[in-house]
Amino acid sequence: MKENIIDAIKTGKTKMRPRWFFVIRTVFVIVIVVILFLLLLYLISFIIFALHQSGVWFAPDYGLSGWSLLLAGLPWGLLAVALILLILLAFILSRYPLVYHYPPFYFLPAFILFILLGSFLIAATSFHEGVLRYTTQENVPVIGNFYEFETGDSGSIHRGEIIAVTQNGFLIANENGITSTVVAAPGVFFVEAFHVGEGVAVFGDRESDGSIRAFGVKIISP
Amino acid sequence: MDERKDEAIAAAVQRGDFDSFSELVERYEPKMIRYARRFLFDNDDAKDLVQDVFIKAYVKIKSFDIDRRFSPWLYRIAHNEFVNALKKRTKERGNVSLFEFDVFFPHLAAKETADSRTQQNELRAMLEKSLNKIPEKYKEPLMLYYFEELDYKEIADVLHIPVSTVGIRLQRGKAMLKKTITE
Repeated sequence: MKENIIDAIKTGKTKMRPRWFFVIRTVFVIVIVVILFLLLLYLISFIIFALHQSGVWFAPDYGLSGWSLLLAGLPWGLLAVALILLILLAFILSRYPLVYHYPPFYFLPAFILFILLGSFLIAATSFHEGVLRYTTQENVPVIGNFYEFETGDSGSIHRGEIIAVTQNGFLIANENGITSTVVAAPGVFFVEAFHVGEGVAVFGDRESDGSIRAFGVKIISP
Repeated sequence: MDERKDEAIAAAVQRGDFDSFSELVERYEPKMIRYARRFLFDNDDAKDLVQDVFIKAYVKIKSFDIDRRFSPWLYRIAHNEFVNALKKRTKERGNVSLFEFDVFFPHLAAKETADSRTQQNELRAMLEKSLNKIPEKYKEPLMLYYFEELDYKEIADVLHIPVSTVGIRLQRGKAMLKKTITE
């Protein structure tokens, strides 16, 4: 066996790969990991930002019906993409001792928690707001479409800007200029807490006269 | 004269002294054939596979970090080669499962314990006799620990599993081994 191997080496049939091959491969893996990691942070923070923008994020504050609104309003497609990216990233990292030396039972939750914390931090900054403002002003293709959120009614969530405060509620106008009267059920919220110009998400169903009987209101853009 | 360390020889090969590689082949050929045969390969298959292992090791030698031990690095290449050969042979994943509970959550505190020399010799003798009666996933860590004398961390590096899982598999493997002897 030894002779066969040495023969193969001496005749050039078997060649040693140069060090740069392994360096480039390592650099390539690092670049892929960094890209996947940044993409994941971007995507999850975007989902959090989009849920805030649409008001869906606040729905669970209003009990069981709020939770069903949240489930119906979650961007399942984006969440599936995020899950695929997460699995891909964990799979690549699992080849490295720093990861496979520890049981996935501990590593995976820690990793997911880390990604979530990072995403919440990014969502708390003005990053996505800045991108939204820029894409709206400059009419940027692709990314611009990504930042087009639901600005009207979706189910029991109604979005708009307060244009007048009344005795028992207020008037909102959505992006298309369509106005709706919001009536607060007694004890649900205090109209004094809201001001003209604030962007709000109103939770409640429309009455036969077109007004919205709100069981909750959240300010989404002051 | 002191024998050169494996890592020093590997460093020499990396520098282009490919004759030194024959020294590594000489040192590891019997161990590798023994390792391959315990993967249920017959002698001829084992020799062919081991030759491939050495060829792969030579091709990849520049990726070897000379500050680490050479043997776990070589055993990792051998493990991959043998598992792939087994997969090809059976045309299925065989005993290599995608999800192993003891990898996901090794819940027992399995710290590295040193067996006494007598115990080690006894276990080695038991292993020689009954290794094939033990499931694959316990067999390999036992082989690497008792015959190839790798520690828990090195076995974890060969098998790409958590260090605690190595401890659990060794514990369970030893228990199974003792049971097969007493039966």
